[in-house]
Amino acid sequence: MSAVWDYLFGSPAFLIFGTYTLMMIVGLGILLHLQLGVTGIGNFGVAGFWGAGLYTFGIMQVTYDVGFWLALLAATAAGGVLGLITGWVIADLDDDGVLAATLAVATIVLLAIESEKDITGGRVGLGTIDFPFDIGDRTDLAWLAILFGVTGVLLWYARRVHRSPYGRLLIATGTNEPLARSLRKPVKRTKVGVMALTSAGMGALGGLYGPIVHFLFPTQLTVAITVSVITALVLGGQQRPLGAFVGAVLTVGLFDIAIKLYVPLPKDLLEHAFPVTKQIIFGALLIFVLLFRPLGILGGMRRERHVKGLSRV
Amino acid sequence: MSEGNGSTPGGRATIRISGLTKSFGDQTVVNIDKLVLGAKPVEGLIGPNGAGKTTLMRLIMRSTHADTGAVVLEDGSSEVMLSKLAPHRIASLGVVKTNQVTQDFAGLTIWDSLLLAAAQRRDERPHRIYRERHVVETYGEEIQGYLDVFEFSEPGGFAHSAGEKKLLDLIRCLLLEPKILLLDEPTAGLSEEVTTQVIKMLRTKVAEGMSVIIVEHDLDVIWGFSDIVHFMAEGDVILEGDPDYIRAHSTVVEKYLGSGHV
Repeated sequence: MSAVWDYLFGSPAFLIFGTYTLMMIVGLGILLHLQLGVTGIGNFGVAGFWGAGLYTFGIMQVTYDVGFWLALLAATAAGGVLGLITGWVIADLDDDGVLAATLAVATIVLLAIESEKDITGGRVGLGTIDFPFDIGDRTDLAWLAILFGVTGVLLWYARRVHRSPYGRLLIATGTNEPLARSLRKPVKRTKVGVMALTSAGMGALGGLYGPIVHFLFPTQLTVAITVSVITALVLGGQQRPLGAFVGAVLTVGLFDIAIKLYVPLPKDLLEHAFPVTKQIIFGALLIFVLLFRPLGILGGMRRERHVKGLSRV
Repeated sequence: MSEGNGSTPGGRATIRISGLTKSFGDQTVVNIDKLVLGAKPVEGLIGPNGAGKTTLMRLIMRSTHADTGAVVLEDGSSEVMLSKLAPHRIASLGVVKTNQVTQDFAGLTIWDSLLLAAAQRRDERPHRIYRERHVVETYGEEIQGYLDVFEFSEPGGFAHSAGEKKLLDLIRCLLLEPKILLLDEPTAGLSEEVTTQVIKMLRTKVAEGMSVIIVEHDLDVIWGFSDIVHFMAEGDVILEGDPDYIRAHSTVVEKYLGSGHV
């Protein structure tokens, strides 16, 4: 029994960090699900909204010595304001325009962080950021529990949105804007609103990631984060609240936790070839899913089920 | 331009159009100096293909933007310039249009689609995630009433045929409780029996105060349903009058009906 325990949890710090990443991808995936899977907004700049929150949190804590809650609030607001502005810009663009514009937003955030060295530390980095509490060896685990809780709340909210008139409005906006407008639905306001709300969530997740890494670098905000989130969501099922979870377990869970922890790969291979191979596999997986199961493992929404349950709502 | 019955706004909301033009390239599709719609309970809009009927409706709803001119909604003592409003604001003011080409929401079932139409802005806020019960309780009976009248093969699922989608489009619009309903070929693709049901339903709504402006190629519907008919040709309304006057008019016979139709 002890051997099994050691095998599974022999590297608790690595396991915990891997699970942090997993939870972060799931949380971002749930928010992207509301944008892309429900409202049809293809956000290719997830890293930018998340990074805006992460760096705002770091700057507030390190540079201005602001307390945790205020810094987290600022991180949420930073993501929300960026989402609001982006939503307003992309509301009238077509799908290709939205992808390009959101990618541009992420690039602008990254370049701003790299160039504004006085505030962000540039490529030298910004730190250190500590957990808001210290309970010794169990601090990491407690923070993981908090991340589980936050992800759980996001999942609960996404599931409730599907069963609400608001969710119906988002689906209508995502599938037929002119028809939604003709039914007196304010399509532009709806898109701006959902972008602001979900980007605020991404900013908050960024803030919560700060204490995990302690030190912030621009390299943490590359497009790899966005690709991981999109891969997880598309693989799991972009139209289903649980899609991001299923996809993240099969990608981040498998590659960043299971293989790294339990498959005895040579260190050199693990450090150099593995990350590149992982990205290649992610890309191939995306193409495979889009070709053969476009709605992902979990498939499309189950609106008939919801309608059958209306009498019990 | 105007012959026969002139339109005199009474208690009903009316749409006043002035100097409205729309061109696509070199071709002028709509060119109307003055026109009032909605003064009578049911007004037919007929004319040959390419006369500009659908474009006129789209200009009123601002799903297409006019080159020049104004569209004003007169409702009692208030006047609102529709040609400056967004489409969803126009619908909020009670001017609603069905679609000539079948339109639907790919991800929404029939019930979803109807609840969406019925729900108010206050029900659709991001924080009101427990509002479904209220919406179902408030509008469920009305929706069920429509579904009892119009038969769908799978009321709990999705609309399948073009006819079902056409009906769904009409019911969605009726759930908005419009003051003026613009119907663009509402019975196209529907059986005779369903067409009769649709007209019966519309008559009930008209009796309750709704005005109808209808574009329809089934002229039996126009002659039997309309109080006044506007005849359009080459982008302008060139003739107005009661159905008997219009169907016997030489211009209409020559440009549209053909001599064997009267």
